[in-house]
Amino acid sequence: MCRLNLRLLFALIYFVSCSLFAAANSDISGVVKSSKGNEAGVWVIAETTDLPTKFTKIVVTDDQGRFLIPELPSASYQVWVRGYGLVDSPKVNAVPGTFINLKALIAPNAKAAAEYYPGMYWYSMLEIPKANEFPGTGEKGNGIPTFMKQQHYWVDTVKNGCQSCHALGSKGIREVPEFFTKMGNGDSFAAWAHRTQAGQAMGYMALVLGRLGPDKGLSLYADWTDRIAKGELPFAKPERPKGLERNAVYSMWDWSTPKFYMHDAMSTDKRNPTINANGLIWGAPEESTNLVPTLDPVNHIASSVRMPVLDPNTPSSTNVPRGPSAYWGNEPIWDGQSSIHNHIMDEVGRMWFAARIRPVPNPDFCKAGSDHPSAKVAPLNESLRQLSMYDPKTKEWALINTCFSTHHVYFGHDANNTLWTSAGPPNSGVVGWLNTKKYLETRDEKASQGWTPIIVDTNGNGKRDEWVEANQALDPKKDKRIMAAFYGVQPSPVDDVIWGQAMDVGFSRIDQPGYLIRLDPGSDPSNTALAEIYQSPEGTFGPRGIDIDSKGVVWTVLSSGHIASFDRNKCKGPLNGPTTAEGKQCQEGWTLYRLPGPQFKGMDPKGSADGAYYIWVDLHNTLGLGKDVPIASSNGGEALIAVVNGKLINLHVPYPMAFFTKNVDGRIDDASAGWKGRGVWTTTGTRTPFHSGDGSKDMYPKVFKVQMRPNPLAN
Amino acid sequence: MKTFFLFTSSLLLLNTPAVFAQSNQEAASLASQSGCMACHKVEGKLVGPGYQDVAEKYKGQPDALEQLSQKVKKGGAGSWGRIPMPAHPQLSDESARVLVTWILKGAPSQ
Repeated sequence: MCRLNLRLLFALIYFVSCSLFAAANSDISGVVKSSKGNEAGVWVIAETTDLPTKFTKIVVTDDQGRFLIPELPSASYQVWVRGYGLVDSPKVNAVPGTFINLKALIAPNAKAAAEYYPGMYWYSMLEIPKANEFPGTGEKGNGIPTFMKQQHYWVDTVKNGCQSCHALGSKGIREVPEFFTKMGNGDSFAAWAHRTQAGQAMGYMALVLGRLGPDKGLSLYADWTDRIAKGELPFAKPERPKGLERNAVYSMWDWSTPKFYMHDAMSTDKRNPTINANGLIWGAPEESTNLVPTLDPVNHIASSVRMPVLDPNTPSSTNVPRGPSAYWGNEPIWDGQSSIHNHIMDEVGRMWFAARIRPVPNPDFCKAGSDHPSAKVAPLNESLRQLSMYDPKTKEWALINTCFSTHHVYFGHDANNTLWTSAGPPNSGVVGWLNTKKYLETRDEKASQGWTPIIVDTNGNGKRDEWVEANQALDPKKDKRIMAAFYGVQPSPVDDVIWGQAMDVGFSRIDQPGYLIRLDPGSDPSNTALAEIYQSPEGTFGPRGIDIDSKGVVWTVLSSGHIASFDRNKCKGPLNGPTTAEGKQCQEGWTLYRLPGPQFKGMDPKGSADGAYYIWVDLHNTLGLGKDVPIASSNGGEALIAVVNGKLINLHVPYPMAFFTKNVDGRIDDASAGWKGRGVWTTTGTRTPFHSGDGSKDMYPKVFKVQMRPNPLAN
Repeated sequence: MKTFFLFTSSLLLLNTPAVFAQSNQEAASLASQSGCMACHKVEGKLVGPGYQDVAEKYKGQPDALEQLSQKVKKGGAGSWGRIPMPAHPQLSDESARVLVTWILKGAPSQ
């Protein structure tokens, strides 16, 4: 009887373990072992070029080194192992439906292991000027410009100037190509100078260098790569994925071309993520091209649609100055005029783009003397980027001439389907919108648009009055304008308020801190909108990106190395009046989450060297980590980082090295299919895909889909 | 008589400040459109030297226009510290001369 029970117990254990690990015909499964035994928390990568576009899928091993790569399209795959403490295993061939044992290779030394660390472990070795070097004493002093008043101005410039376009610390950046070293006659300072002049972003690179102090900035970057070239290694080590992090499934497809780059990808209507189920993913190629890439993720087909411009004299990337590139020589690889920065899908699948359609000077109706209601309040002479719309059903474009500049776009929750926009840089000092219902009914772009300056109710009477300008002293009878535009924008899902976020000094290049901005439009927004501004807590800085959960809590990321939430309901003091003019009220509304990984040496360890480009709240549980989970795009950690019940879930994408994305969105393709029917979508967001991996002209931008299984072996 | 009138009118136009003002504005606009102002300011160093400093350095040098036009086109290093001036091959010879003429005047806005 006892023997019978033992047999039953073993049979039960066998049955349970087999059922946990039952692979289907579309899966590749197996076990990863090294000379040290089973390897837990390492990545198994399967890649094929058999499909119309290159396709890759990545999973993580469980605590016994087991893996299961689910739902693979029929094709022949190369499969290999990557992990912290390892070097890449040899690639083996496999087809779906097979079980394979993979032999992981222990890294022979610390240097070999560090090749797989996220970029921040390398760029945290960059020396940051010490706090006592600020304010800078200028060209004839310490090389730091006098307008760099505090250390965080400098760090914010590195993160929101350099890192906002580049995967700092990745192999393609921490190693200086011989091409530049030769140009600099072996001098690493000169090599970095030539490097920052390479390509068609030369002007922007110069702008950032000018802020760092060109000699200071180049010296420190040259010192950093010199030390690495001599063998210095990261002073910290990353941890392998654990817990929920092992449940992730990463799928990726090539799209566009290696010469172009993406700013964002979009899959659905954020307000209703079942829109466009299984449909095309759309890209935003910014300055690189007018070709808007698309991906059919069901049939694995990458394609593109060309956006037209209104005026043939619209500025083009081909005309900007450029130095020679180590990868592309003198070839101008970008030819974009449309400058598509960001986009959003509406409730019927139309795509709306923040896009350039014409030269900078505005039409007369935007300017002083116009009868346009918004121009009467805040006339605008220039717009850097306007709007366009593409209807995939009719294959027709609409080019919408806005007076205000656009940068990010999100739909409101109102009956007019108002498209709220941010402006990016602070120059315009206004927030603009398009009543898309009116526009679609009338095609009257002038009547359908509006904008307002950002006015804080500093006299505290609860209504908008005459105002003093940003550089003027408070007047008790007037309100005060702040000279910021929104960088991030997000209409609240719980009320009629629009939240924005203004950049700190490193990006804005004006002497004004970064803010969260609550804009209550009122009945006639151009004349009634009132703002509240909020600075992040003392010791933190640099908000970038914004989203709002279903309870009205606002989320942002800080270049001090934090994810942060702000709950206005927690505020105790007055939220208008003269004491709120600087935005220092309601510190009690903030909650901080330190981004993982090391901090720059000599800086406050409460922060992190990591920086995140943006944040997005998963209102509808499209990822599978729960409703209202914020997801930050960690550029130094090469990851998506989710906040789940106050804990950070680090979804590091290990391949190709230098995963860099700017934002995500999530879609539900089949609500009844559990984890398989949903996922979060994003794209390669670096301006230089050719720096990714080991650095290659063959490196395409990619579309990434991230899904969360209930366990690491689910299929 | 009519020809003489047109000729003298042309001379007058060529010598009026308005013509130079327009020319300076055009040069400033060209500098902006050509990306020069990403690295240079009129006054003081940005990444490269300020234009007024350049004008001062080359004041009274008759070959400065030719020399600097070549430097704008082909690039150079060493005159203003360690940061090299990149080449600008996309600029026409004429545009380079317009820019340098304006710079040597101290880059006036009007």
